[in-house]
Amino acid sequence: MIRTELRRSAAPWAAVLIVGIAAVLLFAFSGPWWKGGGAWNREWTGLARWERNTLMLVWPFAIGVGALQGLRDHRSGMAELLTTTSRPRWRRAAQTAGAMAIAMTAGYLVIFAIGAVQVAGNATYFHWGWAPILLVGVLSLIGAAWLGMGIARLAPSVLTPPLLAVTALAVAVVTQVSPVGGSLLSGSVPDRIAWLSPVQDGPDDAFTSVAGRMNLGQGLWFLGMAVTGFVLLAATRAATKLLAVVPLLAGAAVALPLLPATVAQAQEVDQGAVALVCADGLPRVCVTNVHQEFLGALVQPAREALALLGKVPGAPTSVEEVTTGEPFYGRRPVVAGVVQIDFDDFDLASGLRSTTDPDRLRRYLVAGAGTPTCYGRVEMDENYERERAARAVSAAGLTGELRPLSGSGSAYFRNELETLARPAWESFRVLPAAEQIARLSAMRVAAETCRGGTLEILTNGVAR
Amino acid sequence: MKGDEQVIRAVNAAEVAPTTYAWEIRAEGLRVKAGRRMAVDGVDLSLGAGVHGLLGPNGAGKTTLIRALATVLRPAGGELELLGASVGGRTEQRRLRRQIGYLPQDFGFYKRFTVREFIEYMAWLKEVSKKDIPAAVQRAIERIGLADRADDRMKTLSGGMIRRAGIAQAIVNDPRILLLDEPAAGLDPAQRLRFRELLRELGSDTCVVVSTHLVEDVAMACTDVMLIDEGKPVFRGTPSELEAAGGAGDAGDSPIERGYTALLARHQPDRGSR
Repeated sequence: MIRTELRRSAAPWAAVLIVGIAAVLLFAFSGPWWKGGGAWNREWTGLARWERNTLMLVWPFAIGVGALQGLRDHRSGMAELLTTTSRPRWRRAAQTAGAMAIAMTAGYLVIFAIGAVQVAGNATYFHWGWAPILLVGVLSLIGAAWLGMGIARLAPSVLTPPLLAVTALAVAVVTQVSPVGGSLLSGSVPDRIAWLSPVQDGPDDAFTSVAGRMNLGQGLWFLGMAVTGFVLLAATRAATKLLAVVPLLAGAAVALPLLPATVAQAQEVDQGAVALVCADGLPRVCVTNVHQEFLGALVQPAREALALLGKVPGAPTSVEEVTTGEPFYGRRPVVAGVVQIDFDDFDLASGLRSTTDPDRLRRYLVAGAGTPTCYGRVEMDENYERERAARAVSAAGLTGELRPLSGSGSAYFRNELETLARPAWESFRVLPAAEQIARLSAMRVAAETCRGGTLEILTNGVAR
Repeated sequence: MKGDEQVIRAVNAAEVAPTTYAWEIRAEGLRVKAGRRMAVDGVDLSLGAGVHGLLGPNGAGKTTLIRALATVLRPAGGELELLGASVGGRTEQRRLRRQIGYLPQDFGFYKRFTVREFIEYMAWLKEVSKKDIPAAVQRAIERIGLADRADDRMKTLSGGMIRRAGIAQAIVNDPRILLLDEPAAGLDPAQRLRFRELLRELGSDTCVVVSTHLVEDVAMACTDVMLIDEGKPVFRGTPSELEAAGGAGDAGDSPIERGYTALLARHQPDRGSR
């Protein structure tokens, strides 16, 4: 009989609409999912987590469509005839609920498969860390659909499906966890409670995964929700309908202590992803396991850059990928002797891809004599511009030619280069070689500690 | 559903086992409430195989009585035995329901199902064994004359066809007790003729209770007639006895109609001939 239900109930078009909604979210909006290594179609974990983000709309839809299905007996006026049949009610409920669960699972897996085709072409790092994230997503849809069916049976009104869907949407929005913890509504909902919503933030990078206790807690919670929904659907006595709330409450009671208390605890570092893979030979050029597809293109320019840096006393002697994201303010921790690279850095990513300017990657790596910038991703003031000019001049000092570090010679970058860096470079290039190295070395020390005045050191030999 | 159609099928042990009861339906002083009102108030029944017509004016309690027989409503008093078992026990009820076919007055159905899927679904719910379902469904559809529409969606059927699909689902499990509440509503004259034929055929081995206000159907197809009014039995007898109860002075266009009005008028003289 489940075959008939799969054909004739709301299940088949529910699956189609799930795919449609999620596909529109993932494909049609540039939204928050453009981010390099954390993009939905780059890595397995990123795909599983971004698909969980689409639950923002898909999950409310699931509870609404479940409620619509739950109204069928009432709308068709079959209740009386059905009470006179001999087969126990739960067997009949299992057919309808089973068809709905199959549809929810199929819809969710189709979206994953669409992403998987792309990920399979992009990713070199495979692991099963995505599986629990996916499973919790499927469970959340089944729980929502079954709960919707059960509630619609209790309250058989045409208003039930839209009301449930809108309520679920409101819950999903209000429980969006902000980057610093608490809900987006100025943190008014604590993290633990917010994580009872299945909607997950997409990842910023490919190095983290969802914490195991998060998956476990959410999984148990949605399991409880599904059981409650099914009992409501299958119950024949009023007492059973009352008791149906127990699995839901029990799920919450077990899940809440398990769920992480803070945003930091909600994620865990994917040790397999961040393990370093180094190119054969010396000097050391290493990338994370998850980005090893870039190693081949990186190793040659990186070693040339290290050779150039060898002229500057104290300059780094190896290139390694860092796994901490670029902070909003200030810089990430510096490791002495290492040129730190971040594939989500636009300049590095475009340098790697550049075919017209093969030197660009090398220039990028020797900028600042191998030191990282002192400014975070939202700091764009005058000091930052002066630092960029100093980095361009220092790169020119080692490569012998002043060229932009960013962009492909666009007007903005040319202008930036001409106004600050060009005069500094003109005065720097005429200095004796020994003085050039001395100034580069002094600038490197200043940049390493973020003392500032790097452009003045290069032009005047001393900081302002 | 040709009358001379020969059906050869396997019978199981339960079907050929000797019955342990004298009447398929037996009631004594049966009282059933519809809401707060006592809609059936003291009905005695002993019905075996045959077609039993249930007649009465609107609101007489026909539907309430049929709903009690279908195990939808619990009796509020008196005794009700179906297939020899007292109605009420849970496991007993499940066994009982397997052997009941029921067409409610307001027959609801899943609109997106095809006729065949719907009747298959009902057969499954009545615990017809899985291997028997396709044949049982086909037979029910053919008996009711819907074979050419079997694979159309329920929502595309006309009113009369829906009524016939309702009869098909009621007979798909070869019930021992078949309860039909206004089965002929919406059938055209030709279909009604065929339907009466089917009733006679079913009545040969099944206890069929047909509630109707179409007096003609009773005269043609029923082996006996019950007339109830205000929840109380007024008359019990054969169609010819019903005819005999009326005289030339009673309202009605046919002998049986005159009998019907005469009996009702005698039961409640103040209502006169209605």
